[in-house]
Amino acid sequence: MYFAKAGNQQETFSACIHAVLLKDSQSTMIPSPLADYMEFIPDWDAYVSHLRLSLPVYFRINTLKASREVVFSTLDSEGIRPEATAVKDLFKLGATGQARATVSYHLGYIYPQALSSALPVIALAPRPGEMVLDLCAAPGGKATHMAQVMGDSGIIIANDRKLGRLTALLSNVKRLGITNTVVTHYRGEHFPVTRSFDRVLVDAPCSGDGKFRLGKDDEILHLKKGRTFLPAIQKALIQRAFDLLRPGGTMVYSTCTLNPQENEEVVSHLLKKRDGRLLSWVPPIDWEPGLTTFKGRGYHESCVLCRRFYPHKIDSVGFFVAKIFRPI
Amino acid sequence: MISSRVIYLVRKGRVAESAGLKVIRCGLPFVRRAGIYLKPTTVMVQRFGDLADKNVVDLEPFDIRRLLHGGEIVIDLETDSGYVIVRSGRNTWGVALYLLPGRLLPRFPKGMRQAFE
Ligand SMILES: C[S@@+](CC[C@H](N)C(=O)[O-])C[C@H]1O[C@@H](n2cnc3c(N)ncnc32)[C@H](O)[C@@H]1O
Repeated sequence: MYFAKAGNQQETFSACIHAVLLKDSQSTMIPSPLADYMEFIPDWDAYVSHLRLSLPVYFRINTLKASREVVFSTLDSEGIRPEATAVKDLFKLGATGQARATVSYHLGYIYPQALSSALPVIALAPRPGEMVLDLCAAPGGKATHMAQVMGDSGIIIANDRKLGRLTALLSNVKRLGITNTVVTHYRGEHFPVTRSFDRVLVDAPCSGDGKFRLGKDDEILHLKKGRTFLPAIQKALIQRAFDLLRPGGTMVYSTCTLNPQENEEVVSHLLKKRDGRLLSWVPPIDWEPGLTTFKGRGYHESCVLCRRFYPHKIDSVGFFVAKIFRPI
Repeated sequence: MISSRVIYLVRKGRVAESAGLKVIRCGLPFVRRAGIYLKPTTVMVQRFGDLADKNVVDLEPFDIRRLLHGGEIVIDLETDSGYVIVRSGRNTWGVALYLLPGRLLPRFPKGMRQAFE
């Protein structure tokens, strides 16, 4: 295996294509940005092989609308035998399952989502009765999960900047029968600091490369175009989220990208600007610690307390989760 | 919370803490005015319908399918004309309109009907 990396004698070549040449039977090129991640992704070959598979479908059961028993007997009556996972209330439907075509979906018993999408909520661990803000909430996977963890009590302000995506959020909150959620429409970085929250979630807009899959010719599928200045937006969002926390409150910053510039660099920026502390937590599935360097750049030393989740290790979308405390 | 046609169910207590924000929606649509009747929303009865002990009709799965396909059911219920909660086994599906003497008309949301066409 050969890695063409900027900053060495292959610079001209790599600046053009940023590619990894894999010396396997097909001598494959893995396109940027994924190629850059060879520096830190464990079991690179397994990662690349996994990129060529389709991701399994998972779903969360909604215990607000029915007991586990009712949900399972309804799924069973549709011939669905979900597989348990290490994450509470999350089940695997299989590689080709169609969660949205089920009776259980239309009765609001299930929410299709990635296994890893549950992790930010597990890290944030909102409690019944609390006041919680979800700054980038649409289409509502994490907001509705939080409502469930909170027993539909307290209050969740579920905010998003994009009106179009708020429609999906409103419909999911309704479908799951949630009463404790108030939906608002602000640019997160301008959310009014007129009140403070017990917990804040920033599930930030990102390049989404944790979801990437490779097609037949190893082209990247699901590539989002026209996303610029993401780190700048992410830094503004994480800072505003911290300012919205009450002293003693907890926040989570999460993304579905593996890119350190959208992850550890954003967290380091916050720790430079504000007196926040990263907190350790133990995820229920395979994880790696956050990075303290990438491409020669150093990040805050406590970034090892961030958690990274790699697709080939968890058989789901790659994720990044940082749990941050605002001291009293 | 009451808008012109819909009454929303909100959590008592902390909801006031959203005052002054640009709110798009607050809580769960509970009932809406539909002609001369108050129509409980599908999402409300799916969440709380198992607590109801009046104006409920229990149907067999094939009757549910019939309603989903837009068909009506001939049935005699001990109630006046108006909306009733539709259950089958342990699942609460939504509401239907009962009209005397003995017609039950489907009132499931479009998305739900389309999914089972
Ligand atoms: C990763 S998605 C959130 C997914 C969501 N948390 C869930 O679990 O379903 C990021 C969201 O951020 C929203 N967004 C983008 N820029 C934003 C901004 N400046 N302020 C608030 N939301 C923003 C996008 O519209 C998108 O819905």
